[in-house]
Amino acid sequence: MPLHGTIDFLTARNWEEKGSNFFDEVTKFLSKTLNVKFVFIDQYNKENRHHVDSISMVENGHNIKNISYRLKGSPCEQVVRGNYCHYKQDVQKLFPDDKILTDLNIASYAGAPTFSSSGEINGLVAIMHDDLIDNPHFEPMLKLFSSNIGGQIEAINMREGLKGARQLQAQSMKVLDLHTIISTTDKSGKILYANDMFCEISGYSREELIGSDHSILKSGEHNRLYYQSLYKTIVSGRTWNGDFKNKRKDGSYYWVAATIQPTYSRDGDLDGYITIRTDISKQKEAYYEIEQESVAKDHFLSNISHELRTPLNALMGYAQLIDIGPLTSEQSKYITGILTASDQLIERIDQLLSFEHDIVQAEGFCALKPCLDAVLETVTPLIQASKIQLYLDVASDVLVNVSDKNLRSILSNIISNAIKYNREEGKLAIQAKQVNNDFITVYIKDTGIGIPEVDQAIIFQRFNRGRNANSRIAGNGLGLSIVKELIDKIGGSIECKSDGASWSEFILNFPCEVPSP
Amino acid sequence: MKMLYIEDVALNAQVLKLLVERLWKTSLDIAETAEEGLKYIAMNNYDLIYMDIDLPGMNGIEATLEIRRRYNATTLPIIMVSADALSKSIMAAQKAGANDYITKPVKLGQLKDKTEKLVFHTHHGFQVPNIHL
Repeated sequence: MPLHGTIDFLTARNWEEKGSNFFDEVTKFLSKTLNVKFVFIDQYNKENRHHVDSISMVENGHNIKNISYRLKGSPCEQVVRGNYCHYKQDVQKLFPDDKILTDLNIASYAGAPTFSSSGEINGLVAIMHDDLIDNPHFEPMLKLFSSNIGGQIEAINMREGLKGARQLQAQSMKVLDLHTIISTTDKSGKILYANDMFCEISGYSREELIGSDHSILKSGEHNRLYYQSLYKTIVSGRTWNGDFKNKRKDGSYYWVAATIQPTYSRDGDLDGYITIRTDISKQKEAYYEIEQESVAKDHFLSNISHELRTPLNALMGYAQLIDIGPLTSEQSKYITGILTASDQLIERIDQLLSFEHDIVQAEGFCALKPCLDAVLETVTPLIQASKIQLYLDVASDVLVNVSDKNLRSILSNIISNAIKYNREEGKLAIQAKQVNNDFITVYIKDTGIGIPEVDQAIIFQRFNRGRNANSRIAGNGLGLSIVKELIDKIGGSIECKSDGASWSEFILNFPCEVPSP
Repeated sequence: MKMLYIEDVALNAQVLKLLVERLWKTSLDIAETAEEGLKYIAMNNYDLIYMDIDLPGMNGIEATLEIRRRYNATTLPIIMVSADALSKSIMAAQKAGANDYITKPVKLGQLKDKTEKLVFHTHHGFQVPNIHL
């Protein structure tokens, strides 16, 4: 056995100079040295581990085209299980399903698995011959080469993986470059890299940007504290996110959303920063427009309020003067009517306005029963006019955590709806139950037209009157949204149930204070 | 008791005048502009000023600031009487030195309480009016 030749071959490693590769040289060398017809090196197929692909194949000392085949039923299947295999003759009989053996008229086979550095089988090296082979050197030779081949297979796979990763990184960088403004700086903030987007948006050339400091973009919009907090964040190694108004070379402005990330040297020292920015000028513009519209709307509503209050001032003023008396009982009733209607009008105006501003009030405790009684008193004429039957089941000692004014507003809204949408001679039931130590539930049920399921979800939204949008029943679609806001604010909840035709029920949960015994 | 109402809308002025007469059997002086009002204040010894905000020329907030340069809140209380119910207007009035704020339409009870508190009980704290805003 030409051991010296083998050692020379493996140590020379001059295949690259010959413009060839390791695998092709190995197969040729083995074919010549062992004097066999076929030598091949396979690795597992990357997608399907039931198949192998040849990396190099030699027939009669010459490299031929690589093949791919299924392991099942082949002698190679035995090899990749981890064993050196040697079939001296009649290999076709042993593996009748292997078409390749038949096609190439193979008589004998020997093969050894190849291993990666971590010990996994990653392929095989094998020989085939058209005659009997029985040579004790085959096994050590194939085993000797298999260890080298395994390492080389691993190396080419890693090189390919690295190449793929590099390609992906390059592609990602390209996309990122096209989409965002990117710059890097050293530790002191001096710009080291500026991409095309940065040059384009800032109006500065790359030469002007590199070597200077991001402060050339300062617009004066942000105060010293803003920059201080940014600086504090990034020097401590954390990522900073925020918006900047920047100034172009021509003096115009643009807005960016920025992310600044510290970068580190191999030794782990902070050595600079990478900044990625997105142009958000359009969004900022839209935001300012909306803000202006909102100011205009506020102004409009406050004007309406002002215009309505002025004539009402005279109306209510004179009515109050008359009300001082003396009056006949009839006159007194009429004046009370005028004043009540005026109060309602003012309340409506306040409701409209209260959307645009936070409702300011100190919430306190309020007894449910007297408040409910007061509300019911105001609607008694309506109840009587529609001949509605009232059922009341409310204990007198319950306190709820809401101001008297808001509780009145909540109850009055729900109860007047229950009357407004009720039928003639219908029913109205109001029941209060202590569900636990923290909540009181008030059920207000009517026998009215009901609320269709589709509307149940939206009736608490502003300006939404559900299917009553065009109905002749008066309303501005604000009442229930106000109720919900008021209840949400005190930590309660409201829901509605209805069959959509003949009844509806509002269930109100109020945080409550149980009177101490 | 001697009081002044600075209000440019005659109808509003007349209503408050009547209410004041009914409540305290006292007359109410009316000035149609802030400038005129300041002149009246210099010449008379008022117990309290009712002040509209929306006035031609100098507005009610500016007039309040002007009055506060000469008289403190104890010497000459000011109640703003305005159709402006926005919380920011109420804050502005408070900042300018008004003692209290009444939103139009004027309610008899509120007028009585707030005025008597200031005139008879030397109460000078600004109370946020009982409205939604």
